[in-house]
Amino acid sequence: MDEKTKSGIIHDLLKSVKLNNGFYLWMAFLSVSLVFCLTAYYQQLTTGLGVTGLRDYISWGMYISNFVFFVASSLIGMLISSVLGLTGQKWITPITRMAEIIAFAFAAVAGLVIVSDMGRPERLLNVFIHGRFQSPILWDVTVVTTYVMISLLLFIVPMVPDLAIAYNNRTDLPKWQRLLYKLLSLNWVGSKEQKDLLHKAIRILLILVIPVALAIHTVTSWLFAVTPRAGWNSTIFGPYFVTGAFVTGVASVIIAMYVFRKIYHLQDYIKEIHFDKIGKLLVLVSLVYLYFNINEFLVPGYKMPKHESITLHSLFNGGHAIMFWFVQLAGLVIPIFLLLLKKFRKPTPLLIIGIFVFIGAWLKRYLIVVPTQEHPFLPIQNVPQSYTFYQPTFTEICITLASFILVLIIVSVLAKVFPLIPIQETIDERNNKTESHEE
Amino acid sequence: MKSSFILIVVISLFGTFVKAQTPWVVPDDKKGLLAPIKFSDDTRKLGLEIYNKTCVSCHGHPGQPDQAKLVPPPADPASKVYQQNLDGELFYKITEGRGLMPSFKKMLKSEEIWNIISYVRTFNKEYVQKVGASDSSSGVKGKVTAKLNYTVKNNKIEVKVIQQINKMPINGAKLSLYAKRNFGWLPLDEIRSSNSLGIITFNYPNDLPGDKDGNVNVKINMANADGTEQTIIDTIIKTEVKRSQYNLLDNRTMWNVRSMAPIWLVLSYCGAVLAAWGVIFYIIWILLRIRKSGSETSN
Repeated sequence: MDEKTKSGIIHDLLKSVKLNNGFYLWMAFLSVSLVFCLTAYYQQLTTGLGVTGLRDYISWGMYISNFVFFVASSLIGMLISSVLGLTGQKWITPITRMAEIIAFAFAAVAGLVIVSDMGRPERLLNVFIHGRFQSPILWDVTVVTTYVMISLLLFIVPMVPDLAIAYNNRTDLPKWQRLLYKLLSLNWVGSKEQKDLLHKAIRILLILVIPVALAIHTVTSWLFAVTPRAGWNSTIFGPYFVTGAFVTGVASVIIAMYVFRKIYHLQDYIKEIHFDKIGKLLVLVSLVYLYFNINEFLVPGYKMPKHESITLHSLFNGGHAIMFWFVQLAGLVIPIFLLLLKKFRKPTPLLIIGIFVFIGAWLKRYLIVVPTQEHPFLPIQNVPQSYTFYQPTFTEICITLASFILVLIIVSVLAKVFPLIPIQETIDERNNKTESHEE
Repeated sequence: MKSSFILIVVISLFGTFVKAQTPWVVPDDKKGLLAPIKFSDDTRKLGLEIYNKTCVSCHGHPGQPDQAKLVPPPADPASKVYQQNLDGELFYKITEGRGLMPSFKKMLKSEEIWNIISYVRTFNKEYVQKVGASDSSSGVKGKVTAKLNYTVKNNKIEVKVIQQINKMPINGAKLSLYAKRNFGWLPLDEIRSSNSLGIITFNYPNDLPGDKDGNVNVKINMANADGTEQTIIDTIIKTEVKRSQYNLLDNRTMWNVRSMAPIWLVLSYCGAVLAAWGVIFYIIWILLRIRKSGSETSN
């Protein structure tokens, strides 16, 4: 199978770019769902945040949990392309672009999720006009914007040679798509000067994205950790969030790998070995995250300081206990043990585990955001009963779903319109392999 | 040491309760005191306002069982037992207080206490007011003028009280000194009597802060015959103790507005943003060079 010719690889990897009926159907389904969910947003916009379950005491709910989750998921681009790429891991080649698409989609929609949490979204610009340097909110807005830009560049720049290939090889595509390829391929002819420049640009981007990605999720954690409240008042929140983000991101990539491999028939490119490798990666990042979880809960749980004990008990054996233990066990501990066995690192079992980790990761964000607010330092007095707990409403769930649909739309379009697996890199790698065989 | 202190507190509390449960006897000469004013809708209205500010928290709303849960329980002003008190008895009890019932002689003017009484009497259908003799509230007959003299050096406040009509010094007038604080009037020194020259000397504390210029608002109250007080001087004295006015928003701090952000933070933020976006624009410039190089090659 490895002996595929260059033209064979090009043919295989460009097969998916033509928009077909299946794609149109899928997009129609997503669009209709999105419109349905956006009516909920229209309701929220005209009526106000009263349509949500958010009240005076618990004013951050599903939206903010979802925002944290989206930011977390977007970190995968940095992990796969930069950390693994710069350390010379070759197996990541077929999934780098996928990871960048996921990173860009989640980061871009994360910004919108924040807007959905605003009662007066038309005042968004005030964050920039009147933002205080002292406030993590300004840092967060800044760093999310920067990260979206870098993710977009990391998606497009390495793709430049592929776009030239696509432009030259797929003359049958519609005019707009060829024009898009021509425009973004930057007159690529593959000269040494161009290769050197491109290599330089990618190299700088891969280094730049590391501090920015660390910053985006560290700052997100600081939105919580700079307050002295029980459950948020933690010095390890930065690395705790970042490592948690890697778990979420790897799970997203596993799901994407499985799905695209199936529908684009990429079995020759995304092989079982890739699932095996990313399964091992998931074990690694989960172990690190487990380590942080133990620190985050065992140490305060051992001390049980009075002001934190209410929140901790609500997680360990109170109202949030079922969700908490589901997240820790089904979303973290059991996957680690299962993935240590080779047979669970096959595509289908890995997909199922990935889905559990993904759901666990989302619920984990909910557990970070909500329970703390249910237990303020001052007693909750003279308010209706409904103010003392948080229950997301149907409207809220619809708007949250809308953000997921938006991510799916972005991922679907980018993965369809552009070649999903890097063509030039695949060809180069196989050439190198053949050469080294000949030597 | 600690346990004996607790013991003393317990015993005195116990003593208070025991004392509180005995009937509250009002001296005969005070019982017959009558209001110098005729109760009217105006006095009742004023009385209601004062009642709601100073009495309702313990005595509740008259006629409703919402009195504070204290031992002994505060009486409901609408109750029969309460209304059996004569006007003079009510006045005495409000003025002097006992146990948990505070004394109001320093907090309310006699007129205000009479207004409260006029209000609580609305819960007694059989009540008919007897008006007392015209203004006898002052222990000193006739109008009084007083002059205050504060000397910084020895921290004394000297007050001279004289009759307004004949300028004669008043002997034996009981005066007390207060300084205005954020929470109200703070009693200073003790109640003192004027001598035959009408002069009273108060000790003024040497550590009581004034405003940023050292100004303190003080007042002198004179005791009336009915136990209440009337203010005869309300003035500002200049002391040497100035309050240092330190505004937490004067410096660059985390909690300040944007323009007062700490310099290091502004530099860090701007530096990071400029660095990141500088690199991004550098990348875009490289991309433009790739494009240019390509068009040159193909030409």
